[in-house]
Amino acid sequence: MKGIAHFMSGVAVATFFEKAVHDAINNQSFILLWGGIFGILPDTLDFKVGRFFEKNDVEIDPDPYDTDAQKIADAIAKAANEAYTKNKSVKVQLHTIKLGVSTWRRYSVLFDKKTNSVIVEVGPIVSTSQIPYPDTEPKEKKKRIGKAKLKGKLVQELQKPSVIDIMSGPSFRFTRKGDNLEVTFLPWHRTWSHSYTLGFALALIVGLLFGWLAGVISALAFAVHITEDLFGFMGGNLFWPFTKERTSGMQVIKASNPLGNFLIVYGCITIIVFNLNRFSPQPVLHISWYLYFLITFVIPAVILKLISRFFKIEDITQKDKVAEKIEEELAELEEDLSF
Amino acid sequence: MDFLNYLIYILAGTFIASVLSLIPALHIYNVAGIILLLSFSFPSLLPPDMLPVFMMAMIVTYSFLNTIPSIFLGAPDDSTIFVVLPGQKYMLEQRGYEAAVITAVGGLAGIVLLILATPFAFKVFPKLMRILSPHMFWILGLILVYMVMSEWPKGSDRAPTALGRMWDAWKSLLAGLLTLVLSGLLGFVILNKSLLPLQMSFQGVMPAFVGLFATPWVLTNILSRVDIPKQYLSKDVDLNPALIGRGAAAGFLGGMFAALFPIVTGGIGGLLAGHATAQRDERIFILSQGVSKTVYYVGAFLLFFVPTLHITRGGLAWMISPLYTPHTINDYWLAVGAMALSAGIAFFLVLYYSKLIIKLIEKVNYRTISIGVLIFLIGIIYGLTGWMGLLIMTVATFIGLIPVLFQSRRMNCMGVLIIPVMLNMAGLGPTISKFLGLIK
Repeated sequence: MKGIAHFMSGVAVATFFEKAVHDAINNQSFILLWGGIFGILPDTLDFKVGRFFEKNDVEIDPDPYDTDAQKIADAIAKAANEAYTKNKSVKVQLHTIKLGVSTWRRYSVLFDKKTNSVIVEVGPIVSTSQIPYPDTEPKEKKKRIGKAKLKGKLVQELQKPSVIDIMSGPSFRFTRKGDNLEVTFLPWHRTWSHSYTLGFALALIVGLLFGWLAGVISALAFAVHITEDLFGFMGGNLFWPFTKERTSGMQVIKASNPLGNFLIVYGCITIIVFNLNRFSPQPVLHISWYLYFLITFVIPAVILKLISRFFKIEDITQKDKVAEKIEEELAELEEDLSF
Repeated sequence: MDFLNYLIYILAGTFIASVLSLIPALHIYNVAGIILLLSFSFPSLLPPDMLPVFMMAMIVTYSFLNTIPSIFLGAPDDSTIFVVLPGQKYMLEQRGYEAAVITAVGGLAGIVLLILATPFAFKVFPKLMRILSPHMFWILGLILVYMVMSEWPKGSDRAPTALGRMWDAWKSLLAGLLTLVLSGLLGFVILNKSLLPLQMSFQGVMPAFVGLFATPWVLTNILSRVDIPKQYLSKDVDLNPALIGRGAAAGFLGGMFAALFPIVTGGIGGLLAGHATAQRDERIFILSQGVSKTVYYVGAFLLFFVPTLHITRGGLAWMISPLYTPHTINDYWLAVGAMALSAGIAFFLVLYYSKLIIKLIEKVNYRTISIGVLIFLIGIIYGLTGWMGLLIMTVATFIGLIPVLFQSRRMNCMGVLIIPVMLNMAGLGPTISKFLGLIK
């Protein structure tokens, strides 16, 4: 889910506390802000702190002047196979390919369970807005697509290509689990930062410094973020440091889904308004809660869902076509080279 | 006769604003203030009953045409590509005209949505505002916190040590924070100390805004010797109903949010709505900025005409409120009529002026234009606010240069208003002003 959805969820949680709303009205207290801050905090810890302290074993920095898909595939496979044969965890950082001030070379990495291999496709030059420039893929097919076999049976959360183009690239961790080779996408993400225990500990500090209610709001907002993330593809390391592994998500909502994100933000706004009204010394709305949410949320959400099909747009970055393209390219190459 | 009078004042407002909107960083509120001062001296020139339609035409036209200087005269050099707005990126890709047209289409969509939202304005907004009014200060605080926490680190992950990588990424984040804090301090100073001549005190924030938002880019353009590529005048725009629908929805939400909440600008509203609706397509962003801007400026003014709402949002409504009070629904529909007519004209003026300005930047060296703009800005600030205004502008320019040089969000400069207003609303303003030695 997007940061704003977590942020608003935290604020919505905070408004359930009558004392907090009253403090805001009567004492001009900023206590409700703790909901927003702790609602977004787990991702802040990851993306603004944690990721920089992740130690990578292998860094793959493709040559911008002679990008070779097979070389990248071989380097990834070498790291993965080392993890399998030596039975140790190997972390790999993939770097972006910067060509100019605002141009980048896109490439994609797919861990393919069917063929138990890593497939790399070097794509077009893209702008910083991730929009591809037409006909800029490498002309030579051998440079464009590469494939390398992996030892062990491939196990991973996502069966879709990782597209690497602008700013910074992703990292992967390879771990042997019995006869399996487990691939973990962004091993630094949703680990220690996405644990209820850490949330509780940080909220305790807030509680001691700013009062018990600020602490309770902070703990709940943090917990709501972690719980919301469980509905996505990646889960969290829920009770770090007591648990060591990141769980898998329920795969109900995609983090980038515009309608899903919007409905969460909008739903939170309706909750906030509802709570502010009912805890006001002079409430403005005098309708039952179910009628309020039916009118302000359920009906608009259903209408939005129904009309959203008419507002579908093509992904201008063409990232959604990468998987299809890899398959096409691979089929062609297999015919040519009899892989 | 009345109809003809209204028409004349709508057309006058539209054409006066169309010329003024082309001047970078010159806000229509500043000009409106001067026009109001003139109308006191010459009441026959602008009678009070013509004031609403004249001002409505001005604000509508400004909301459409101020796109032009921001796209064509604020063009950055390509090293700042991470912080420039998509409209300016289009300019660097020879598509500035297309960006201007997309924004204008957004403006039209905003006007249509404002008319459609009329029933809500009557029914929903008064109730919503009564619920939210006691909470404005912490909602502003929430916006501020989100602006800070949602800024993305811009490091490359290539430094050899963890601290090196962190520093690389945090440079821009810290610069953003510094910009916010310094802007806030500047805001406290200009809102608490009467630094400007009394007759121009209503222009208090103008030198700060010019310094924060206009002069840093102009200076960068002069120093970096930016080379503007030849602009392509496309005959159509890359839009379809789905894109317009998405952009209009996102922009309307952002603009309405900004119109309802004090100090929140259309840009901030647009940013929040863009995040909330998770839009990634640049065309949607550009269009939604057009919608958001129009809904913010025009919507805020339109709220003033809603009978029973009694809401005064935006500088223009504050300025005319002592002189004019809407009484009936007819006043509202008159304002809507003026809005629709001037929007239609303003749309075509965007097309015409964009072509005109493209011709200008093709013929005259961009650096020369930037130097001219800088001299003009200095002249207008000195003319309106004197030496003290120039001093405020200079301080603000140094603050405004921080996000440009360190590639952080320029929106952090809005701390100049958000921080002091938020703290004043929370009752903390006097304590902080005393602490800063601004009041005794």
